[in-house]
Amino acid sequence: MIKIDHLIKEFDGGVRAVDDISLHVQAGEVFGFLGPNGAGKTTTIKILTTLLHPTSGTVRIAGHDVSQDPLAVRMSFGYVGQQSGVDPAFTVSENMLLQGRLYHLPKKKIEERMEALLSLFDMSERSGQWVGSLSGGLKRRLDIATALIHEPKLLFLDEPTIGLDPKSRADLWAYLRRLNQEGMTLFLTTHHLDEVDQLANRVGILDSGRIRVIGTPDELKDSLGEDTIHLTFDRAVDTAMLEVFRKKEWFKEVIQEGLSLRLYLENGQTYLPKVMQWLEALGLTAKSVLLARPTFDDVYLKYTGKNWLLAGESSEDEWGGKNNKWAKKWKKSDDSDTGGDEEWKKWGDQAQGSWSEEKDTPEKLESNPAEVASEAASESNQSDASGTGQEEPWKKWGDQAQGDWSAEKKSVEKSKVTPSEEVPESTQPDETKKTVESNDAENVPDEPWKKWQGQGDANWSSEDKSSEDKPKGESDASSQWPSDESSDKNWKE
Amino acid sequence: MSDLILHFISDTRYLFFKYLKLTWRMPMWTFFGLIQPLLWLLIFGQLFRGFAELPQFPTGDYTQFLAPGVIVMTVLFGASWSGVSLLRDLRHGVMEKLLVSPILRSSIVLSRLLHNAFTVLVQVFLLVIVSALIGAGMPSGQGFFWIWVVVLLLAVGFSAISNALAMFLKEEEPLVVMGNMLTLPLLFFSSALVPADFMPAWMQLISRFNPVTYGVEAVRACYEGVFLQPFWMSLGILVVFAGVSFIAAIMTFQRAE
Repeated sequence: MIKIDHLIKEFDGGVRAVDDISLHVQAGEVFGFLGPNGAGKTTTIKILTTLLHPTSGTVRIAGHDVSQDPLAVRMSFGYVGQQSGVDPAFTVSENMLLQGRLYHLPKKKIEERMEALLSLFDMSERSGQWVGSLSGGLKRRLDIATALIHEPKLLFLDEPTIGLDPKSRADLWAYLRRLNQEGMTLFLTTHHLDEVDQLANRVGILDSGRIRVIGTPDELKDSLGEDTIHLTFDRAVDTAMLEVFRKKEWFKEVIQEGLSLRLYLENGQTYLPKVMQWLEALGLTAKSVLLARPTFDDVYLKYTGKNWLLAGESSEDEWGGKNNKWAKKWKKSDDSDTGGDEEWKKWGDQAQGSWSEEKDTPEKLESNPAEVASEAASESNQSDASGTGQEEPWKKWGDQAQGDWSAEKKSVEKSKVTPSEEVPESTQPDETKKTVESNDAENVPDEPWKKWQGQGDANWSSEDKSSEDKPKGESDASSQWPSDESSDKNWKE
Repeated sequence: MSDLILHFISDTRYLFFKYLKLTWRMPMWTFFGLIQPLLWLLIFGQLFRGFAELPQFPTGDYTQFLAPGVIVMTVLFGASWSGVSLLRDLRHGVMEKLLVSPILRSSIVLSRLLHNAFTVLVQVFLLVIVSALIGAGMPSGQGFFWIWVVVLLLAVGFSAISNALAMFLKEEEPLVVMGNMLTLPLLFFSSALVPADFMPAWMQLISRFNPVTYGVEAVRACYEGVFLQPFWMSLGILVVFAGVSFIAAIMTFQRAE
């Protein structure tokens, strides 16, 4: 369906947004392109959809070359871009009719397709409604429906769940899965780790214009082992000690990240006590210990050597050169997700702060709910940036925690089985939840884990309060609803 | 190939009607666009009424002199908004959806320009009637027809520039600033407000390179009903102007990244 060979895209000024990508996507696949802002995802998708010309390399879509036969290529795919793509000044059915006309379909055919698509997306009763009055989630659904009017076999989606609340995201995933079951090939980009986990058969991790790894989500995660133990120390582990860790036969992979170590292994539950004893034997005292399932965060860390949230820092602007203006503008208004590097940097800094100085974490957690509230309030006043764009990292985890129950269940259960082995820490989606879950355990005196905590003890005492204040899934979600409404307002103009 | 031409025509027509529908849903804007030219006609006309008493002034009445200038001004103001509506489409992602559909870029551009020209034609029609009521005189039927032709060419030319600028700047604020910055000097460096003979030599020189000058001259000829060589020359220059701007606009669309 898609054949990309040695694709290179250079913008004016020599910025290489896409650097020698080769990739084949088969019919019926769901391929997820994962990477931070500026990794080259959007540039790639724009080349595939004939919006940009490649600098070199060949791209064939459904057998047609994008440079030589763009019109034939355009007939073969549907495209859902980052912005809504449906005209708010027209009704639902008018938008569908218009789109059908653009593809030169006869009127009768358009009406047939319109009926089928609207019912597929559960929007039949809305055909006379103004698009401007639709919610963000509905608008996105309509956007996808219009993109399918000419019965393409391939659908490109550029960050399709941008700015959607968790419920709408989950709905959208269900619709996309259904499309795929009916034989549609999907090519989507995202920077949500859970999204590819949920949808994609195959994932390509893109960073600085290069594909770092391609595989199924499970392959990528299994390559790391079944479980991961996160250890945080007062001081970074030195290289000699790191070697000791690396040589230990228990671990499939050891990744160092600031003061933390991530150990990937099979059957972590059984090994955790052994690991703790082993640490003591080595004379190391971990300030916090966490057992979890590897996430895409870990996968990303392994293949790019960069933390997911820090990753945007070194990347180039997707829009390249003079078109930076776009990024700037969007940062101000609509989809802050598409914003440039600076914002990533900001979150990165904050994330870095909380990782490198573990002590701060409880306080940070504590102050977060207030920030959620004020942020939600200010968002609803100002703009509809409800994507991860302006969210603080932890908010994303909350979000993820909500949308991703199934994936997380396992680790939550695990934490229930062995609550005594858990010391919450706040660098992971799972953890935030566990902080709440294992709260009771903390009040029980003389738990063995207390001694692992070492000097961290004093800091963690503020924990109780923080876990009370920390909103669970629901309140996180509720803080995002207003932003969704405001997005309506914005679109309505 | 003939398929392509048929598609070009039907796509252009279809998009033209789409844009027209959009305007039809917000008809007030078409009328609001008339307010400023009318104010100029009324206030400026009164303010400089004594102008016409100067020796060598071509017409007996200043309002009569000013009306063609204000007509061209309406075209300028109206056309400079065309780019803003393009940015609206870009912002909503509507343009991106158009660009990935099997439609020629030239179809998209042409439908936008024609739509803008159409709105301006309606405005000019109303303006000619109103200015006739306040003493600017009424052109003959033939004159009216040629006024529309001149206005069409000017509108296509200037809205093409506005669209190209919008595609290049990609933001509304600088586009509006640019629009304002360009329209007023274009007016002042033309014979819209004062006869060319009254201008200093250097201004006269600049005005010779200003399409607005030829637009104003042509409309004036239409009012007077004098269709001689200067009129046809002005018209020829406007055809070239519209054509070059149109091609430039298509090029910015084609290399838009």
